[in-house]
Amino acid sequence: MDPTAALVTATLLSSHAAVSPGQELWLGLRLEVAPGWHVYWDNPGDSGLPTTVEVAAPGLRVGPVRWPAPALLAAPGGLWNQGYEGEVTLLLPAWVEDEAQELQVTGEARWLACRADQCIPGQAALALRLPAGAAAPTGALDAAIAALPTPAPLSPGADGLRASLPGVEGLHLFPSRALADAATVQALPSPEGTEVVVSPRAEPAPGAHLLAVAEGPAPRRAWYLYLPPPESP
Amino acid sequence: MTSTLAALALACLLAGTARAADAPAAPVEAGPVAQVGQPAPAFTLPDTAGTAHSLAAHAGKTVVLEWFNPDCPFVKHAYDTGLLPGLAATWTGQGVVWLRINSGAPGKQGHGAPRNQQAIDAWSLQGPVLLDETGAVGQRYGAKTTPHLYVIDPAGTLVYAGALDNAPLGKVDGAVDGTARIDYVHAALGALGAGKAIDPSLTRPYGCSVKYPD
Repeated sequence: MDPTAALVTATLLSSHAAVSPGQELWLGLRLEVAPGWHVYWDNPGDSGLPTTVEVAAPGLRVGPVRWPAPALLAAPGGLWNQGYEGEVTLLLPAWVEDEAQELQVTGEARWLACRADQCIPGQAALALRLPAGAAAPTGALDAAIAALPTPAPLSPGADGLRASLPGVEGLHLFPSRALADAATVQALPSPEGTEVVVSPRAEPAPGAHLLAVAEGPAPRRAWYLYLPPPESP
Repeated sequence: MTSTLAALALACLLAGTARAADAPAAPVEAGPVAQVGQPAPAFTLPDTAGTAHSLAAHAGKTVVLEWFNPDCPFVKHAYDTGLLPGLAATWTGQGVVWLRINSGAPGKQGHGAPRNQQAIDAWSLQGPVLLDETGAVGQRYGAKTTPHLYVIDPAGTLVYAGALDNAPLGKVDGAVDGTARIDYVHAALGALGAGKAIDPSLTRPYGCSVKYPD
């Protein structure tokens, strides 16, 4: 028996049951994680391993994962992890190319499932057939899309990059690995709410971002704060 | 020869004394979490046979500390299918001291002298596995994962801390350092031997959490 089978169930889902040329859609990797176990966000924290998903199909362009807000998970020894318990859906934006017909989407997901006393790596092959046709929404990803952190740009300021979140008090900041390696982040109270300040120590790698998650009971508001694209010469 | 024998006898005597003592001294000197570029904190820990090993005994040599848990899948991968046994054998053959440290608490995964001795035998490990049951040495070094590696130069300065490589479970993590495999510890030891700067000297470790006491 594969001991990982019962721990995490992986399913590839689509926002639409059929596709037509030029269509935008979402693909979603749904992970159902057994009680007591967790899997990891892009930046797993003090230990662990990021969950990864790669999907592709001829005629389909797939963007980078848009992560839902992770939870902060404590481990003995003062260690902290960032990840997901229960059910989580990782969304991938996708665009159907103009000449595309039916799509055979294939891919692979990898994760590390851990509980307090042990970790077990797992992976799954993913496959999804999307026939050509009128774009009928499936509804399968509606809740995950609605829960996506709200995008907001970080704007260059005198002492780094800033984003203002009016009316928000109390934030947890989750820098992605690419940002954590290159910058210090902090949330400062402001007269309007909270000011997020990113102070780079080095040039952040592409895809660097942070998630800001409001404190309090679920569902918690969350923001996806991204770096402005580099100025073209 | 006589002086060597005398020194050995003295060392055995001292080890015996240390073991006989009811309340052993703290395994590590108190202080802030170890930092690259700063002196590596001194420690003394027992191996799986109960023999005490101190970092000070290896003064003048390059020392690698490898946080270890024989039942962690990342450690198992590194030993069963990865490059760690060859890497350790290569460098110990060149005079590097390789100390594995298990900071797992009693009752936790991979803990205890019998299990770690079994791992030494199964993987034909050279050198001891040191048992840090209180987690004091692990906390002093800021060890977070198994594996988590540290390189100490012959002057006793911590010169590298972080991951074994950029390929957890053998798969290169493209989000961190591009698509080419980098063996950080191998590169650090090579640079140290050649008198070159170690770059990177600090990387993000990956793996299981160190199983510290609750």
